[in-house]
Amino acid sequence: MVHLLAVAVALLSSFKSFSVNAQIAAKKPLVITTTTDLAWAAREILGDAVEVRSLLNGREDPHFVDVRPDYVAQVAQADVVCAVGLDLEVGWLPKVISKAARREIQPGGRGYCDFGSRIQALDKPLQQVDRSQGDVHPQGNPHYWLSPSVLAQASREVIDATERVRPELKGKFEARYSEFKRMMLGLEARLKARLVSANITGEQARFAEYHREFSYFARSFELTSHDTLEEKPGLSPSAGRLGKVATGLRRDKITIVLAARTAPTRVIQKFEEISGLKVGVVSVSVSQAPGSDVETYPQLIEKIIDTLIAVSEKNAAKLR
Amino acid sequence: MKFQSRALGVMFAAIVISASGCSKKDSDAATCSGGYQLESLCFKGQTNANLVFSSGSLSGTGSAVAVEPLSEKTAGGRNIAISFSIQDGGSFELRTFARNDLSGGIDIKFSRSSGKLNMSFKQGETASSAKELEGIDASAEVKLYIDVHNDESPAHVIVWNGAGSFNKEQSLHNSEDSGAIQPAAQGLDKYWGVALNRATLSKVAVGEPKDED
Amino acid sequence: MRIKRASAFALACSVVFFAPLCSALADTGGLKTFVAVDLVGEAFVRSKVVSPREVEVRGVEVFFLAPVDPLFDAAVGIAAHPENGVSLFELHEATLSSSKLIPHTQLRMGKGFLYIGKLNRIHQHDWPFIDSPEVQRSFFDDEGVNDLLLEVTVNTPTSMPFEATAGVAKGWVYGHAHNEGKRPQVPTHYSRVQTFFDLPLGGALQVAGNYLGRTASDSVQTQLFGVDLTAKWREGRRVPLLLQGEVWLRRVKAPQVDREDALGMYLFPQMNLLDSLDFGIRFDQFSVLTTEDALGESIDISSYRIVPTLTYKPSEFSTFRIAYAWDLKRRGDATPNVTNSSLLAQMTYVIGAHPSHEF
Repeated sequence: MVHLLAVAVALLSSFKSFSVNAQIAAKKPLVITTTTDLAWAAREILGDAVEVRSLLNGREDPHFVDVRPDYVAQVAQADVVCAVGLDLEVGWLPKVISKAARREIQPGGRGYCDFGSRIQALDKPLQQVDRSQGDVHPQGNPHYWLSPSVLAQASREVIDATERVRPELKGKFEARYSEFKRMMLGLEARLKARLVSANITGEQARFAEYHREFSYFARSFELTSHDTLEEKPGLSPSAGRLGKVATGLRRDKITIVLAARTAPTRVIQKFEEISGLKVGVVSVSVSQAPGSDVETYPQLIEKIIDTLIAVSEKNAAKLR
Repeated sequence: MKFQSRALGVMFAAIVISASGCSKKDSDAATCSGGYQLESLCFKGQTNANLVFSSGSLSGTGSAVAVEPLSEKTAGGRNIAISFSIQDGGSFELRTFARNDLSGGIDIKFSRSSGKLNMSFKQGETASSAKELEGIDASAEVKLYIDVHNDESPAHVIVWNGAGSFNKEQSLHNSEDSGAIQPAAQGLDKYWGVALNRATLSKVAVGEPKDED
Repeated sequence: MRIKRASAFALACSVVFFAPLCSALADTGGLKTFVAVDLVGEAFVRSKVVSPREVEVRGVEVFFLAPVDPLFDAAVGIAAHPENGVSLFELHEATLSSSKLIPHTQLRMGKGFLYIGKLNRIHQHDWPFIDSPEVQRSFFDDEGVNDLLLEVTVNTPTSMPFEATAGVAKGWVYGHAHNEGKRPQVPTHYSRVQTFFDLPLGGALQVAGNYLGRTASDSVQTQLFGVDLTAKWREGRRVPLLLQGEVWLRRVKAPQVDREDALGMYLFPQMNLLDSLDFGIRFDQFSVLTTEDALGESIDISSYRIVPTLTYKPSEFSTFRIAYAWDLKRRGDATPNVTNSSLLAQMTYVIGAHPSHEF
């Protein structure tokens, strides 16, 4: 019985896929992004001409995502699939795209869009990497979306991909893109000024992070990463490591410690106990959860800056 | 904490669900009246059997089926430990994983020629050639441990004399060995029994396979 | 068909030493290689089996994946398993697949594991527990059913995801075989229909119905009907709760023999204790529903296995596991009694290309 049902579904789907493809030409193009941050940027640039959806909802860690059938179903409908790239999604996206079985959106296809291909990656290893160094990204640090200027630069990719699959839309996004870039650079400048007003410059602009994911953020806002709580990327730090980092931060009077919400809570609490310092736990992606305080990218970056300033003030008082 | 307590709830439910199996009422265990009780096993003689049961041994010419199946599933494996003796020119057959009339199974036949013990296999209509089991004095009582793995294709038979460890290297016969005689296929059902031709079965026991692949 | 020992050794050497060179030189070919090692130990604590198991390398898998051309991708996998104390290589996979010929459709052909059930579709070293449940051993030959196959999988681009697979396999052998078998009267054919739901608190459930049938050369007809499910809650690299299970009914009809129905299942709930530490308990049940004695009286025997399992995963690429297994048997309505217990241990690791995170 199940056997017959499977054959029936297979046949029906084959018919449906032909009709779906015909409808695609008439409907708005669908852009699927892996993360909410790319989706936000795509919506800002492409506007109402395109439907944009994100596979993730902003609460996940994009390193550790499963190959879910609902992702396959969504990607199977897409005209364009956009990834952060730089191997961030290597554990799941290639399989999702393969299972979706659409030639156009596979790597190298017209509808495949890799934001990371547009940027100069930071933290690129200088020598051969292997797993003894932890979960190192051999193509460089993929967490570039936390820099407004870098995200603006990378977002050009979604315009090119959309125009490849829908040539009739060529040229229609230039004005919006220019406005988008202006807005992002303005956001960066405004928040940089806030940091200056809060006296977070020079020596005061040094910070520690749980995982090295604030490199681009730091460059944009003229901060300096002093250390990471992880001894090696992707490996939970030992108590000894936490103690060593804590001692260094107190000695060097580092007042800012940042961690993503996806960092292990237990480890963060342990570090706060050992060091006596408050860790600023922040969202590092736009959230799709209703009522979230980081529903847009500007809100996301502003919230990180707010938290950074608050944590700096609190810890400065403790270190006096 | 809330999540952990829900997780424990799911695990407890899984314990309850799994512990309640689908079971049907078992009938009362069959008695061995009219049959032959060899230790813990009950055999019933088949039609035209000319068998004598005395002092816990079964002798004569004829076949008898064990009431209890060899395994609850046809695609299973068992070990049969047997002690038997054969008159010169006679034979003793173990019929395993067969229908309840002892057809269609893996038949392991031991025949005596002077002091030598020969063994051959038969499944359905296909019989193998006979091979001498070396080191066995067929004029005396023979004690063997026989694994029949009917979950392999063809069925895999290993024979030991119990003197050493129960591994393939110390077996008297391993049907998987290159050039070794082997059954043609798998047995068709889960019953078993014995076929005597001027032979005596004195001890028999069934258990888990001695060698698991 | 197993490769003979000498050529297997040569093949293994060439794979181990040549593959990295291949990978370095053929980077533009997109060749990806990974090697997975699965080391298992078992000690019977209370057993009627005289020879206890030792520690052994249960499997070494070497996998090569690469696009062949713009339309097709290839996968080649060889695996070494112990046979009489010696590791022998055999071909696990040699498939050509395409997800670019027909929209929403994946085609797969060649030799490989059938896309059916849950455990049959994933590498044994990726299972969330050490040993094989009895339903898997009895119905799918332990590691899984592997054959020459032609398979089609269709993903429906709908809001409720459906995935339907239909396949046919050569079917000359099924399960543990020592020869090339014989042409079946009806080759192995199988299908699977899967769907997916969100669950509260950020979880998700994947559930599938499965069917497999064949009629062997000796007219023995086998049919398998099964349901597999996986429910998972994930928070970053932690999986606070996993629930995985399968239930299968097998019907076997041999000539002039009553049909044999057997029901087997396993259920494995697992929870995360600390960052890299998980604890689960697997419950197995297996019953032949139609057993009768030689006189026609019905017999009800069920076997159970309870396996609490502790897993430590320092990273995605290595796993250390320890478990304790109790085997129980129950006859009729009697209380189950313990027939065996054993201590199990496992170590696995993967080197090479990053494996996919299967749901």
